[in-house]
Amino acid sequence: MVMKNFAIILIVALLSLPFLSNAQQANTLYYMDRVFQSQTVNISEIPENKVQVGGLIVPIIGQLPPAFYFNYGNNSFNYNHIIHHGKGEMKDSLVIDLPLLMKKVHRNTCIRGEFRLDYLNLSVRTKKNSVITVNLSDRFMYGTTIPKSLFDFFLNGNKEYMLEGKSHDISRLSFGASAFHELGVGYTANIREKLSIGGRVKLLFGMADVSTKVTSLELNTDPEMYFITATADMQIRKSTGFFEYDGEGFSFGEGKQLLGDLSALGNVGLGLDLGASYKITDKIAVSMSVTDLGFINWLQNSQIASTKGEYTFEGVELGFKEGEDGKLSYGINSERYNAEHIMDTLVELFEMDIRDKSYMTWLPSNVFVGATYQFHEKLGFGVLYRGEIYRKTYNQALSLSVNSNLTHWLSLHASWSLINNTVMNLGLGMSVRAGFITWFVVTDDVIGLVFPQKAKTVNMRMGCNLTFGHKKKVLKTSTRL
Amino acid sequence: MRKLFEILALALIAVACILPSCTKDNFDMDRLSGEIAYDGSFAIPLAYSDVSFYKILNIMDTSIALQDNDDGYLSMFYHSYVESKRVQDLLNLGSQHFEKTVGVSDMHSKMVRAGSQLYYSTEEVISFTLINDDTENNEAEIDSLALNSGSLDYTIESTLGFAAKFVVEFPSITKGGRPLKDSISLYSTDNYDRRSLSLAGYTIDLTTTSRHYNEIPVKISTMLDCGNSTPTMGNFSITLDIYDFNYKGLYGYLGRNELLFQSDTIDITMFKQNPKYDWEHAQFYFKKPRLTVTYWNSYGVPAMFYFTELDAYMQATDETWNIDRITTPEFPLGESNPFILNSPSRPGSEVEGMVTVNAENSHIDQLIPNRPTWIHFAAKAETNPGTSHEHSSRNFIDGESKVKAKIEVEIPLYGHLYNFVYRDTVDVDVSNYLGNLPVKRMAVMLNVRNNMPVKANAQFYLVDENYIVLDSLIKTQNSMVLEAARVDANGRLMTNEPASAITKIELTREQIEHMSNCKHILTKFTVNTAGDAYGGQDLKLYRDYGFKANLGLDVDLDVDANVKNN
Repeated sequence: MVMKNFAIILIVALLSLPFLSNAQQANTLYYMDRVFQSQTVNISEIPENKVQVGGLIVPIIGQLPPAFYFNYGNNSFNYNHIIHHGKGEMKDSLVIDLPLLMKKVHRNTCIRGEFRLDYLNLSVRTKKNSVITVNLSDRFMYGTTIPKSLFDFFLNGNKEYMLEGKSHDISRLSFGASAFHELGVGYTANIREKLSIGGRVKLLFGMADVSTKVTSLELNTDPEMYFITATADMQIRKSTGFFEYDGEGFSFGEGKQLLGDLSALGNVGLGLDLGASYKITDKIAVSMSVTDLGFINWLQNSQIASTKGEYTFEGVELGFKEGEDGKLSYGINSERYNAEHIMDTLVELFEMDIRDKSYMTWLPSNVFVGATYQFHEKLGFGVLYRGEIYRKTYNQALSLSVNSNLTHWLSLHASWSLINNTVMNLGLGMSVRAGFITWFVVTDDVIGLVFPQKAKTVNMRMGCNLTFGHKKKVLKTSTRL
Repeated sequence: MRKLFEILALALIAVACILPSCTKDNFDMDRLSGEIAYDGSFAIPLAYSDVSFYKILNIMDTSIALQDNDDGYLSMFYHSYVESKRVQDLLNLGSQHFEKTVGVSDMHSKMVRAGSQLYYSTEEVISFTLINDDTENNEAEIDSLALNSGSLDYTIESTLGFAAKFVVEFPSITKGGRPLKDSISLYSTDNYDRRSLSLAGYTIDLTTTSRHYNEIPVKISTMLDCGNSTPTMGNFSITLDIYDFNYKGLYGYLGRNELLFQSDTIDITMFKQNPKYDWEHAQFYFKKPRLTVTYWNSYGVPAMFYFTELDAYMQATDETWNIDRITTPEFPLGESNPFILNSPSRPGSEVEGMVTVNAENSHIDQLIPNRPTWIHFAAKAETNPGTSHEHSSRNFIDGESKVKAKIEVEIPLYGHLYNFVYRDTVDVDVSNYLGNLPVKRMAVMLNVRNNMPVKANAQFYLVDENYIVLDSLIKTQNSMVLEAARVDANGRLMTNEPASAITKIELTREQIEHMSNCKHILTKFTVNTAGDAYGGQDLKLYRDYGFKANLGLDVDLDVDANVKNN
């Protein structure tokens, strides 16, 4: 029973927490030229319709389906790498296979997530063939990086390192979760016949953030006494009223503090998207974009807990405690180690210096570089490279896609990607126009939606746009210009 | 195109159907077996403990008042208090009563006429008596009283047949310098009236009469409104009651009063039979034990204190010793040998005094090795010892005066000890943590830094929920030896030289299996000071003495190959 509980906790910790995904992982969307939300990953694209409106703000249509995007990505392992069906007599049972997990874990396990709700997307094309876009969105981003040596420590144990006199270096450990409102205004223009460029400035209002900043963190085990010493230079930062450290301990707020976070406007940030597209020939075009270059300065309810030095864990404390009857007894100080006080105990162990202080976090930024080849009037091929810079890690993905604006009301897209160190990513996208309404849905990994136990990537974006002023017969798959 | 739509729709429906059936089994936690493929090897610090010796003593015997003594090391104190009654209860002023009847014939001799009114007055004395309820002693001679509260009731009854006014005045009962005075008027048709007066804040001087104590003068005046006639028959009477005294000060001579006569028992629980420790097979000697009587007296009265009974009981031998076997003539045992308590010189203060029985003036050090489990005593205190019934001795008391005594047995932790066994259980549910772990191999690391000048042999037992021993932890030797820390010539621990011992115990398969039922750990320490049973080195134990222990675990977990799926 203990192991079962342990397993469930482990799974929840490793898989469920990042229920969303890599920032702006939208490789299939990139070439969906009839969906103007593709501008979120390539601002240099000029939509074909004169006016387009989308988002939850659009009555009825805006909620069918709701304009949202979610993404979960894990570059190391999937659910079946932890729990899977056994063999032989165990074939009908699920078993926990930690050696398999260890085998799959990369040098740095990067787990990323994003959830985005679009309230308003607006695109207006001017007479000079330029486009002005406005968006209002709420975004929640999550990211954690877990070095393999930390998995080693907890799953393989510390004994091997101890006997070899090595440290568990977990300096790459990081955690970040933040939620913010985004108000973006973009402008895209054809500056030459074959070249279009675009940019979007985004005003960000942070709602809440919890993140770490680890400069160095090592764990050493003393071979004689088994003491575990952490050599740490790190910060844990938060900007939320939901919990607070007041010098005597942690206290958790109530619902109204959470509502206060949602309406916070004091944590201001700035973001920038840039893009350029160039048509080399009638059939070949290239593009490049950078998204989410930016930061948020966290001021409201912000605290930084810093620790720098060596801290030794000698085990739980056995000691004398006074009972309600005034009598002393000897045993574990269970109050100190229960869930309610564990944070206080950690603060005490790491001698953390906690101060009310503002801090800044950078957004996870993406670089897209792509090219398309118009094979046929209704069929084009695309290739796209995506790189994500988040803290000390750089994640890459490569996609090949087939894109077809099959009719003037239907477009279909398919992609095959190398994402999160697996090629098992089949992306699908579709947009359908009925009158002035365009409905779209897209995913970079349909397999992940069907078989989540095998998925390292699960993402989906959908929405419905009102489109006005579209060309009567646009059959040719766009080459961006 | 329509066909394409149909194909797409079918594909979506198929996916929607396949999705739950394919995934359901993988996420059905009811199918999760206890089997786990795991091969971790851990060396972890489990627990540490920094144990002060004085806290162990507090656990051994919760009735001990453990304190640093005058020499800086620790002493065990067992004590009991006795104290006198509340002074207001002990010296009760009770109710003072006076009554007087004046007939017409008595009035005629002193009456003075003024117009239609006749005046008569008389001076009387109220006798005041203080009674000790316990001894019925009424020899107190009170000079004055300062009252917090009190009541005075008086009644006038007249059969003279005329309208009259009666005035009562107490020249010696004053408040702010003004005497207490009151009156009652009766119509010709009335013959009775009653008045109640509060005496709160009044001072009563009882020395203004010729007797100079215990008397309060009262002046009674009458005015009869009788026209031209004169009363020829009848009388008037006055009744006075003073009661509910609560005094803040009382001066005078209080006589001989019994302040306290109480008995009590001091339990020395350390030497009672207890499953945690074993004195029976131990040899020990505590130096400098003593029995001290400390008293506090806030009566402004000389007093004497003495024991009427004092004996000790040894549970081990079922013997009772009269304590006079160990006391010296100076000890206040018996009425003929009292201890005279000094008295304070002014109200509101107290004096403290002490009488001590120690190894230098008695043989009390011979009592302790016999393990007395209780000391019983009866104590008595009396006021004005040796004085005669006379007014020359002046006493005072205030409303809170008290005689209090603390009888205390002190056993300093100075001496030697041999073969003392201490057992205790630590409530650590080992089975909860290790019970279901697939342990392939396990070793326990125990490190103890001994900061005490005593040597101990330690053993640890795994016990189940019924405290039945399943196994012992240390197999290779009979027990783990903790050497004593070194001390200097003064018996003080040499700094930075704790005795340290690291033991790594490789557990057998049987011991590991016993862990799964282990609910508590029973510890057993056999403690010795340096030397042997008959000539140990005497040591002093200080408050900062103790030991620090660290417990670590070196464990290799098992791998179940059946579940591997690479």
